[in-house]
Amino acid sequence: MSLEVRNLSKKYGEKTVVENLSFEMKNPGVFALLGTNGAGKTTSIRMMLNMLSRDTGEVLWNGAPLDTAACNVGYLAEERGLYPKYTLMDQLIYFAALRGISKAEAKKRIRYWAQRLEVEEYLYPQAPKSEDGKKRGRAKAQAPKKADQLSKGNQQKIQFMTALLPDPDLLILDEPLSGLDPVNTDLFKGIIRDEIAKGKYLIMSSHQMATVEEFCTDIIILNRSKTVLSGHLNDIKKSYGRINLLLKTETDVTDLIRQEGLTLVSAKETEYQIKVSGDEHANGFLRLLIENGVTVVTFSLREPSLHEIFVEKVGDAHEA
Amino acid sequence: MHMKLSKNDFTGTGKVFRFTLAQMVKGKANIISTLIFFLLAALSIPVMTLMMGGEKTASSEESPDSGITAVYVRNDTGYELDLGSIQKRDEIFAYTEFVDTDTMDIEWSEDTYESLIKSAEAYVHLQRDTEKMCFTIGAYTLEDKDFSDEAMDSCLSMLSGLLDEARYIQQNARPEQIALLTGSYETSTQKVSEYLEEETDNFDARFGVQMIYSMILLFLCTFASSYIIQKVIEEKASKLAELLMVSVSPLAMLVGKILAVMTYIFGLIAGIAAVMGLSYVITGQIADTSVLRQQIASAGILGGALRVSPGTALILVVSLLLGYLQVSLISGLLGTGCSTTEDVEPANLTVVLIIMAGYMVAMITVGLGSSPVLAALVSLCPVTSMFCAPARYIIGDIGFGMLAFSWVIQFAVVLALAYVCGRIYRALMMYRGNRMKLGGWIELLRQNRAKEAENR
Repeated sequence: MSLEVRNLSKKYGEKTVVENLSFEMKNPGVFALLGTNGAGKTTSIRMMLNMLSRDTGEVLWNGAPLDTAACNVGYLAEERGLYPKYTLMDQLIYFAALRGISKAEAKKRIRYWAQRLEVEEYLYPQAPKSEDGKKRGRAKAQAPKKADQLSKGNQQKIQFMTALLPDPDLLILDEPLSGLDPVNTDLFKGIIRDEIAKGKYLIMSSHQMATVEEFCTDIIILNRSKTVLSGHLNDIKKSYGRINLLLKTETDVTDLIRQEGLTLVSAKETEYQIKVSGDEHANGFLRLLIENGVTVVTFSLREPSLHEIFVEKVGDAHEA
Repeated sequence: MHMKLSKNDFTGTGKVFRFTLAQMVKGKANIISTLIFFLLAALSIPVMTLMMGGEKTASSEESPDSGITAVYVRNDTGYELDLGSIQKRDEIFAYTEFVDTDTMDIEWSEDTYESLIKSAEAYVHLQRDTEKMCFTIGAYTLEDKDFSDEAMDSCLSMLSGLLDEARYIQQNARPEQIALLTGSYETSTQKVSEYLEEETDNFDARFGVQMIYSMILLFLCTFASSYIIQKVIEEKASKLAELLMVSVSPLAMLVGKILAVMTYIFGLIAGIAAVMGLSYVITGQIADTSVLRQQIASAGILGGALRVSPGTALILVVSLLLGYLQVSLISGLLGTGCSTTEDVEPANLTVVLIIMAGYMVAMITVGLGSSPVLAALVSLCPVTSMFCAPARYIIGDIGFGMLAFSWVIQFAVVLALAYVCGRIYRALMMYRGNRMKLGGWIELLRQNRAKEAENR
């Protein structure tokens, strides 16, 4: 299987919202679609899924135009939505039916995902129990829950379930972790990890760079409708080199940093974050520290984080 | 992305239909309103019957009876009378015994009868008057008799009839000749004012047919538009459009809803009709429902001038379906042009105005007479045609050819609306902003055409 997006473009009047977006997923994994607010991420996803008309471009799944009705796609939209007044079970069975899943199979899958996402109590209301834990004889079971009776986080879980129910080959998650508490974030992350392990193709749009870095193999960064960076995350990082130096000493070395012409990013007492141009530059600075009799507690060189790359790229574009 | 309608655009319609219909049937508000409609339908027949004076009196429920237990007949005419046949000829004498005094040992005369009869009995003397060359029939009862004068008159009428028959039989007349000679005849008189009222009845019939049909269509369309707009906006406002559009085309979403609402409302109308029918049958057991028929007949609706036949039901169903489809597609488009639930009211109002325009034109023009040009105009013009064409056909203002032509135009309107839906519905589903009006739709259509041309 493979996914190929070629030259997607979209204009609203004179305003370009997506310009020649292209990327390819030849192997299973996670592809991140990153960008500032209004960069065109959601519009790109909507165009990929045929919800919005494209001015140019095409989306190919296994070499053929992507047909969402025929291809097994799961989608968690940025705009979360459920029917507020219908029971959750009815809705989930309906969404599953639209994806061609029989009622019996849908119920089986709903049971599984309800357990994974810890929402069983909303989908399978139980008869109230007495204090000793036994079922009351004639007690009525609670009425089935409706979407508007759930918290935002639980609604998000149900929506995530709708994306997972068809056991999709291609899973598109638009800001999947936004608005979740740390416990539920971990719950979602666990499921995403499992889907990756199953060999699924995931496209994820997020502002949480740490999360993206945790899962994604390839990224594309959009800024004001244009692609400003794309490629394999590790390659991108390597291309930047180890330019981040974390230094901890026993004495103040601010003067030496200035003397060497390094950029001091931040300083907290005798703990410094410094930008270097590369390994040699860092080694030269280490020699200078030793020659000056500075006791080095920590000297750690690392590649830039995705956050730093993003800020640099988007910042550059903003400045331009 | 394709812009033209294809089979794929309707994939999933059945699933949307089933879900929408199931949710409509389950909805508490719908259950309550359906029960209210059924209750009103069930009560309407007995209430109307009672208001029109159709209550059954105790006497009307009993079989009619003359109140005379026995009639003693002294026959001095010389003709043999078949007294036993009287009980069969008129049911009011079913319990009256007719006794020939010749079979009794008692001497009956005008002087002795008072001591021989009771209050519920009568003595009748038939004789030939040779001087006057005629027959006389004398009836004698007690002062405090227990039956009415009308009953006695009927009795004498029956006896004189028997005498006539006996005379014809003696002259060897055949049964058919006797029937011809003794057959009754009816007379009627008409005042000038009554003659003029016939013209009014004709007007009432025209107006009545147009009003009844228009009311049904009005009920159907206003319900349909409100349901469809509500369902469409519900999905947009709940931000479900994207989730659904991954699995099903926007057009299938709309068509599924239209079919579900249609099934629900047509089912409701059929249910109301069934309840009214049942109520009519039950009411007929306890009250005289013929007053309802008389009332409808007096309005001229059951008159022979109207084109009412078994095929009329089919004509009405086709016409209602076409009217429903036009209104529901317009409602779907208007609903999709909205973004929030606050937009429901103005969108609904627009559809109601369109429906009311058609209704008003139909009701006003039917009162203006049966001009063929006017009838053709209102029967063919979109919006008014769905209200006017079938009613004008039943009234007799237009022929079936004109009705069929009106259907063709209405079907073309449905196709045109479906074409517009196919082109812009997807974009409308994703549209966010102020309620889109006609100008916005035209602009969307124009943009789509331009893009298609560019792609070519």
